[in-house]
Amino acid sequence: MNWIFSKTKGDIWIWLVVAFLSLISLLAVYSSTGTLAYKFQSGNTEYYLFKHLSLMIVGLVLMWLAHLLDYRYYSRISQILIFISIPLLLYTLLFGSEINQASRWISIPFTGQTFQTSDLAKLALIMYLARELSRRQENIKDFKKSFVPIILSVTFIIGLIAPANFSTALMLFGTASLIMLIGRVSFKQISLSAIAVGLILVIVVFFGPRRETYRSRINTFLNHEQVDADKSYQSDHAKIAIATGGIFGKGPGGSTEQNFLPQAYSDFIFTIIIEEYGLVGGALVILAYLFFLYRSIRIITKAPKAFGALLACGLSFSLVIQAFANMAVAVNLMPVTGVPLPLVSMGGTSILFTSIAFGIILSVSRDVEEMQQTEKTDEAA
Amino acid sequence: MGIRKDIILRVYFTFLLLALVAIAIFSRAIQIQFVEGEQWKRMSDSLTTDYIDVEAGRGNIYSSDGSLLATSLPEYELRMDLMTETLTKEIFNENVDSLAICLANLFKDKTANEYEHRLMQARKNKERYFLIKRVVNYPQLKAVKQFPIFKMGKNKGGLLVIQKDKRIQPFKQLASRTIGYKVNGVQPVGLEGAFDTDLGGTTGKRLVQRISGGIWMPINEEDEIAPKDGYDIYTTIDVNIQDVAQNALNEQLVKHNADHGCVILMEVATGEIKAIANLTRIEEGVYQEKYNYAIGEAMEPGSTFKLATYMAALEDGIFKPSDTVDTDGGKFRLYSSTLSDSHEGGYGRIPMLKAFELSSNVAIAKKIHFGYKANPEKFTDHLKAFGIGEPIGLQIPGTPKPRVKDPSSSDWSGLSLSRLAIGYEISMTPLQTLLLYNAVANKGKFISPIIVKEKRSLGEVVETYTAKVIRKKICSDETLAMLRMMMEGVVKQGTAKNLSTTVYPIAGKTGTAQVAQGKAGYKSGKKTYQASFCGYFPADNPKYSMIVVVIDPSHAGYYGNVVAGPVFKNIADKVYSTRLDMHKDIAVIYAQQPNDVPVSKSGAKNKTIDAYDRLGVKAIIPNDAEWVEVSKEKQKLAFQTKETAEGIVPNVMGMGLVDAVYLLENAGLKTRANGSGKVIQQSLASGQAIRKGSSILLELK
Repeated sequence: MNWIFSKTKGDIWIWLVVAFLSLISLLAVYSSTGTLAYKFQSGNTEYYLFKHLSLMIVGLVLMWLAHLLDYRYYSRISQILIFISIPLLLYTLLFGSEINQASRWISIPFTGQTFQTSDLAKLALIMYLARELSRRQENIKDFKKSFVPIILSVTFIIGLIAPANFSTALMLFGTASLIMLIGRVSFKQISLSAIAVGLILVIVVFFGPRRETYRSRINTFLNHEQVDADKSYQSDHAKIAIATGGIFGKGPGGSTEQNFLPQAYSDFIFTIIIEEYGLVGGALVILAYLFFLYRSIRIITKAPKAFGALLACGLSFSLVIQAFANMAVAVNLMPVTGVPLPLVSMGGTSILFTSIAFGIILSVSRDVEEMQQTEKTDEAA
Repeated sequence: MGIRKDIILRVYFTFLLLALVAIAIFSRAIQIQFVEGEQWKRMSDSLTTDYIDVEAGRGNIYSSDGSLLATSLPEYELRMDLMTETLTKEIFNENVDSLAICLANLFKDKTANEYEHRLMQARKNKERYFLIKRVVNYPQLKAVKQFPIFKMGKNKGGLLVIQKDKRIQPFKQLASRTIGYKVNGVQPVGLEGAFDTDLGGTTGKRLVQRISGGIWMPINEEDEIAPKDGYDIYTTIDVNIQDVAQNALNEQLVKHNADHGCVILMEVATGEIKAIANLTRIEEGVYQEKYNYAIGEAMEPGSTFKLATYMAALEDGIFKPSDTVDTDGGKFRLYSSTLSDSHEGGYGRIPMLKAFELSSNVAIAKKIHFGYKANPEKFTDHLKAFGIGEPIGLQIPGTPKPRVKDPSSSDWSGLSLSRLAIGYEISMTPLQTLLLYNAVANKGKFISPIIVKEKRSLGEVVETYTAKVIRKKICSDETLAMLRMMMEGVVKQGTAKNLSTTVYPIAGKTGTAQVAQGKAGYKSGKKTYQASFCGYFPADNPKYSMIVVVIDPSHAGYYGNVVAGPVFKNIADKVYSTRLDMHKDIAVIYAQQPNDVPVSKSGAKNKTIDAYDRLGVKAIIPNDAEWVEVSKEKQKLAFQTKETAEGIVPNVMGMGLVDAVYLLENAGLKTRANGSGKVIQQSLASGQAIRKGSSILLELK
């Protein structure tokens, strides 16, 4: 144990946020898998708790390992990951298993686990962006030297994700644009590409293969009063969960809406948190993410190299954006889309990639700490 | 501006942006709670969910021949949702009158007008859970589903059917206490109680939600956890024997106006209980199965216990059956207490064999008192060694643990030995007494009884039960032979002569004991008796053992042979008659006793000859006869020709119904008949001419 602690470095507050979110996750997942447990495990609710717990432990181990690795290696690793994810994305697109008419998953041989390739691609792309942006800082405003190669890799990866998982692609594009902005890419150029994406968006929504799903979701969101009960089912129950949660909630396991929300343990877990722990619980979770972002920014400001700063920045913003997107869906600020709440939602591989992302941020933070320590010892000497 | 500073500025800006998003999310949550809150809460009230238990089907209880002793039948409660969307005003108004007529015709509890009025009222009140009828059976339910409005189909006509299971015993009172019951809030009894876990199965779970009107509706098509039905229990009870036992006991209880009584019939070798009847007086002449006396009521057994006394004494060589003893004028005075024989003045000097057959208290108490006086433990130890005093482990709980007193007990006195010898100062249930007799009949092997043979699931045997052996051999073969001889003597020439039969021998022992009245003991004013008979049959090759106990007979005597004996014989006769394998060759019997040959029904010549042939009797019948009348004159059978002729009413007196109908219908008469047995009266006299199409009425007895 001591050995593990002595080897555990990096921002202590981020580790605490991780611990807090994991705890919330265990509680909420345990309570919201009731229906699943009754359906598939003859009422054995512990089954899902243990399954989730073991995944979280694997995630923590990955996080710990990732934070031990010197962050400079991630520059090279990001390149490798990009090259791995391209064929994987293609494979998924062509042979992946379909859920809701969207092939997003491939199964890992011999493990019985499914694996969402876009999770890997997302991580890879953000790391890769950090690498490319930091390497081109000197002439970042140059259209040909910087913008074109960067935007090409971005559009290529996102283009592979988009057919099956359009909302993830869209969110990834937003995140990527934000990181590019932070990385000082010309605002004008980004705006132009945003307009291009907007056009694609319109085409996909109205003419793409899943146009029916998108249209009904958006319609439900915009014209809530007019659509019939079945269509607004999820958001209605999400609202019931929030409305009945009150300020302090119904207490652990008190949720009733978990029986109605089809993805209570994943996409709508935030509503279950509010239902069981009230607005107070909801606020704490929101603050936890904001606090995490704040700690990450401190790392960014202290990071000596642009790559470290952009790496921590890209990953932390991406995680928090995803978290807020999930919550925004839960409170009906956004049309329903399937985004898990990082570190909290149950759902196989997404936890693992999230953990790795946290690990990488902590790796940067570890480096910053060590550097400060050498400075201090230097001063002392 | 440096690159670094520029980047950091942008980061802060983005952070601010995200903080705004966080505020937006939180505000939206507040908005949902406080601004739209009411709306969603209302919706949630109507969407409350719960897991309800889905009852598993309860297993059946069967008799040994597969008849249903206890089963569950569905019953339905009918309600109506008058506000269901598909039930429009037009449909309702057009059909309500015909629905009312149909309901009134089917249930006949209200008039069509009443039904119509109630339905209209319910519709006006917008009732969603209107009660149509509380208890409806399946055929009625099927009919209701075809009624106007309801035939629109599931959920459309508003018919709500709530199923409830009702436990029934198809044979009503038959062994009903042993079958038992399980009612909420009451300690379950009998097999229903003892095998509750097996019969009950595992309840399932189902997710339901409350919809308006207080109705719970399943959310998913299937149960979340499917219930697992209970096992079926196959008992050893034989419905026919049980029926005979119960009737015979009832008849005798009524005759003697007894308080209660019980019968147990057991198969000697297997320990299977074939019949167990318990009847309690509800009012004069009316008896019901209320309490399982056979296994639950421990009392001083009285004279039936003398079997154990003799077994111990013979094993210990205290006396031989031929040893004589003086009955001292029927009184035996010990300390300040006197014991007496039921026969006034005693029996003089008699051998111990006779003392058993006559059930002489004086002779037996004296012999045991003086024989074991120096070493009373030897006697009590022996009783315990026979297995008396051990729990028998019956499949139905509730048997009190018997206790055998010994000299180290605090309540042991100088009288105890002599009292124990004649079955006092010890309490046993009827079943415990029976087990001792069964052991004697079973060549000394003492086994515990079983009442449940098998546990089955969907017809597949899951578990089989066999009788436990408590003692492999309770006494020597010599002692067994002597005891069995003496018990046969009881019936042949002893206290139970009234049970003797020529067809098969019975062996057993009568018991007439005074019942202790709580604290008052035997001194209270009213004397209460227990009359019993315990034994086995056929004595030469025991197949069944049986005990009959009757408590507090108040009419026409109280002795065991008079009160309990006839019940024993009645049941034994019936069992014997159905067990052809136990019978001696009938022809041999009648060859020895030609005068006992019964008179047959009148009938066809060939059949009559054939029937008597089988009894080893030659029927001498005139050659030209087609139909024969059989009668008995001076203990000899006589056969006479029955004349039949075309157009003449035939004589069918003394015939069975089959033959009589054959003859009469062939002659062109319409036949009606009352009763069963032989024809004792025919409404048209024989020999008269038949008028075509006229009918004839027969009385049979």
